[in-house]
Amino acid sequence: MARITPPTLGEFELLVILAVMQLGDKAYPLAIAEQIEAATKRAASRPAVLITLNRLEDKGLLTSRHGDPTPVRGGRSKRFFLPKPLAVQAARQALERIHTMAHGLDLLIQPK
Amino acid sequence: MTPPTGPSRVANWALRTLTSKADADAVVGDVMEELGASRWRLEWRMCQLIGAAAITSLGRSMRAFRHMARDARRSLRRSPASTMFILLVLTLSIAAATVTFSVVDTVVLRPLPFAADGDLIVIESRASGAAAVANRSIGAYEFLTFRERLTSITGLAAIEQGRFTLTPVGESQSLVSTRATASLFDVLGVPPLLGRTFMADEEAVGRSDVAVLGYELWERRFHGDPRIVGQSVEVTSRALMGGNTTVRSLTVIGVMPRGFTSPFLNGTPKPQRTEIWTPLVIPADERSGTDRSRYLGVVGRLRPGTREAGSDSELNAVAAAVAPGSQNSVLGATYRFVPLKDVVIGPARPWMVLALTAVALVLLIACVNVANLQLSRAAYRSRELSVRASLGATRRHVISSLLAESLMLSLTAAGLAITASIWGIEIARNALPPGIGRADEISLDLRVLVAAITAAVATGILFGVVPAWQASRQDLVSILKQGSTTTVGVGRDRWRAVFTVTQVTFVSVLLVSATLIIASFIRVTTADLGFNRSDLLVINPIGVPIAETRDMLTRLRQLPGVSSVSTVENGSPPLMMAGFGGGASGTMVNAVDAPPGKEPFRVEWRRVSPDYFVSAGLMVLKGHVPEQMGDADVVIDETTALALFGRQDAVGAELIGGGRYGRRRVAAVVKDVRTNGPERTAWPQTYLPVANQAQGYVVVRLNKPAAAVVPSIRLMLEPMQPAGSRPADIRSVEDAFRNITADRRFNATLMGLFGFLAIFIGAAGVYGVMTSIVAQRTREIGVRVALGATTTQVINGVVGHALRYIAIGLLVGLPVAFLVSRIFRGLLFQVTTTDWSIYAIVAGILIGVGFAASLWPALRAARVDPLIALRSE
Repeated sequence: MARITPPTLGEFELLVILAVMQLGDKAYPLAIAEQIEAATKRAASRPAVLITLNRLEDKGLLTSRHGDPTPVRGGRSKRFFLPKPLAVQAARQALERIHTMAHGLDLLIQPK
Repeated sequence: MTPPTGPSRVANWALRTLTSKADADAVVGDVMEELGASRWRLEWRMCQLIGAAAITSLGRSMRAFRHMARDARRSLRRSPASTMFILLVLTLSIAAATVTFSVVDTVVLRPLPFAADGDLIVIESRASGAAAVANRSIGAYEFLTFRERLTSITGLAAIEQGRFTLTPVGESQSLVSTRATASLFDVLGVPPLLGRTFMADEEAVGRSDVAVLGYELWERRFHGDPRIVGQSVEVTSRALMGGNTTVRSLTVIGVMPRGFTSPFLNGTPKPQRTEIWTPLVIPADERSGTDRSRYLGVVGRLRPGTREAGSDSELNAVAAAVAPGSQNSVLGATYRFVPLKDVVIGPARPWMVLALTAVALVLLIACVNVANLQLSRAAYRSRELSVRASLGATRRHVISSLLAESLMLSLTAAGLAITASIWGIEIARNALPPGIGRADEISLDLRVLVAAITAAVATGILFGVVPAWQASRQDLVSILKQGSTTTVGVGRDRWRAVFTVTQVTFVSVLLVSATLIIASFIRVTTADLGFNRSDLLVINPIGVPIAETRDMLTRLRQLPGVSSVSTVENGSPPLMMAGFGGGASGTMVNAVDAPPGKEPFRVEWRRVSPDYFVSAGLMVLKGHVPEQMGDADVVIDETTALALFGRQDAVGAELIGGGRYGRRRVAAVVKDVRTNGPERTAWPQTYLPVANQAQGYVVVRLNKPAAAVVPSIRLMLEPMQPAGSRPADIRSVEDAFRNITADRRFNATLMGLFGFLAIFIGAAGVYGVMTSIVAQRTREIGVRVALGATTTQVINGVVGHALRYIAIGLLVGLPVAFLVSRIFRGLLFQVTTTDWSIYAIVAGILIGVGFAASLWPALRAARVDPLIALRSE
């Protein structure tokens, strides 16, 4: 059987997948956006996070399920995202590419 | 705690239309959790998220479309023969529809290139009597009076075309010129692109050497130079009658915008776009009414809110006051305003509507045919569709996928058809009959493109929807269980029968219409005109001095291939009036010994040489034409003889006419001549002896093909013409006849083509359906053969099946065709819509075609080996 090649990820897609992985079973769009903001110290646009999550789901990297409704959300449920194995492969591949490209540039790009 | 309020209902609704309810709720929940207290920030965030959902939705739709297109492409590639055939049928019919629409749109549907074209009118007069034809030429005196006295119009302009030619000095090709009053451009409501148009004081000798150029001439000759205004152009002006030539230096005062042309009003055989306008100078004797020559076309603008009927009565009152005793007044002519659009589009409208209806029918036939083929294809794909269903495809998916196939087919066909239409429009433009206004403007423009693509999409949906719906209705799981590759299904069988019968119905309606039009054309071309039009030439010996006429005739008679030569003065030879222009004089005549109270009779008269009747092949019925006709002799036609003298012998009797006609003795009675062609009534004819005072036409009967004789005639005439003169105008009367019948010929050809296309598509449809039926019933046929059915019985079964469809289609189609043909019965000539032979011919053709189309599938059915057939399932 042919092996499914993971798709190439963009930078923001990689951040979103990593955030989903870090949040485990508590990864819903708002939490993902806040996780990215906390980790990267940069603003994560909510619409961009939503578009990216939908796209990653369409690509077969994430799956989603709806949780229970909560009063603080006006009785609405959360949509939780979970990574599929292909997402892990894709994230690994993207990080390897970055490491490969950064090889030998430690002195130049090492964080101070 | 106050429960948090959500976003507005509009925002909620927008989000839910773009995504599922659960996903939309989750998004709203996130927003409320984050910004619940801040109303405006919440609404703003909702707007952003609706945008995000829209982008996601669009992306998903695009992906779904790509997948559907890919599936459709794969599916169509799997059966290339059927795909190619469908593409051929659709391309031909969409191309035919595109070309026809482009012609009809340009000629009939588009507004004229003038401001508020609905208010523009033309003045037309019509004499009383059966042979009266509408006359749109009026005299200068009448025009001036109308302009001064009519209150129902805001402006009136006179134009004159064809009496003078303007040729740039040093060139041989004349410009298409129009002389017009200064009011023309105001009446039409079109300002110049550059400079100005004429002023009223330029309508006078000495001030009239100014010109307004048409855009095309400005571009072609002056390369669009904006400094042309104020420059001079030298032209040779030649009067067509009389041949006076002068060289004029015209100062260009303006250039008209692209596409502008003044309307041709005088029934010019081939309207051309005016290239140059010069002021119309009305001579003093015409202004005073001394000379009442009628050669002006008049276009005016009705005062807004003026009803045409009311304005007609004012027009007639003014006409009666200005012209007592004029020829029109004597003939009891009535005047009326005719919308300019009716004049420009004129008789083309019913033909165009017929052509458009016919091509729409062809498109419908193609739709039904392709729908039928798609139905058969879907039957073969039952297993594939059931696999898709078992893998999770919903009914909506199946329908969308099959509709995508149909749309892909129709849009590919539209692309091919639009490419083919580029040539088709070029061919149609050149093949259009002369006299069709705006034919030179026909092109593949945005309107036509939009129409073609709309037609293609509509076609795709029309032929795709039933097969898709049918395919999605099947119990796909049971098909999968059966393991059969094809299924028939009662619903599909019924639809197939309905489609085939509908197709035959449409084809029979189109064929009956086409046959009626073609039969009319055949009757027109074979109608008796009263003279022999073949091998007959008419020569206008331009510039040959009148003194040399006798010598010219003698030398013409000596040429090989010429059997008879004669001359006509004061009028055109037969058919010339309708075919090339020209005319005849009319007068009222009566028998000298007519009883008191007998009404005078209107006739036309021409002066002819005695040989004319031999040259024209005009049969002498009574008496004989003397070799030298006396000055007081007249030859009359049988209608005149009957009207004036009844059953008495007209030969030797005397008649009297008005003016120069005088009192004359009848020398002979000849056959009636239909000078205006077979379809238009003509005034009765009388023939007077030539006076040799005016330049006339020469009529030449040939006994060799014209192509062999015309060069020697030209060679003979050339030395007799003045230096620099235009070559003599030599035309065959057969050409004149072709001019008269050009619109019929064009439409008969068009209807013939559409009919042929319909038969081809219909036959292919019957063939396809029968092939599919045979293929799907191989097992059943095998069982029958195994049970003892003979080859003949199998063939009869298949052919009989097809003929049943044809018979039902004819039973519905022929009565519909009868009703439809009554709508255009005004276009028929000597053929009636109740002519049963037409219906018999169509029924015969369709039964023959149905038989032929089903024969091959029947032979295939007869070759079915029962063992193989039963084992294959």
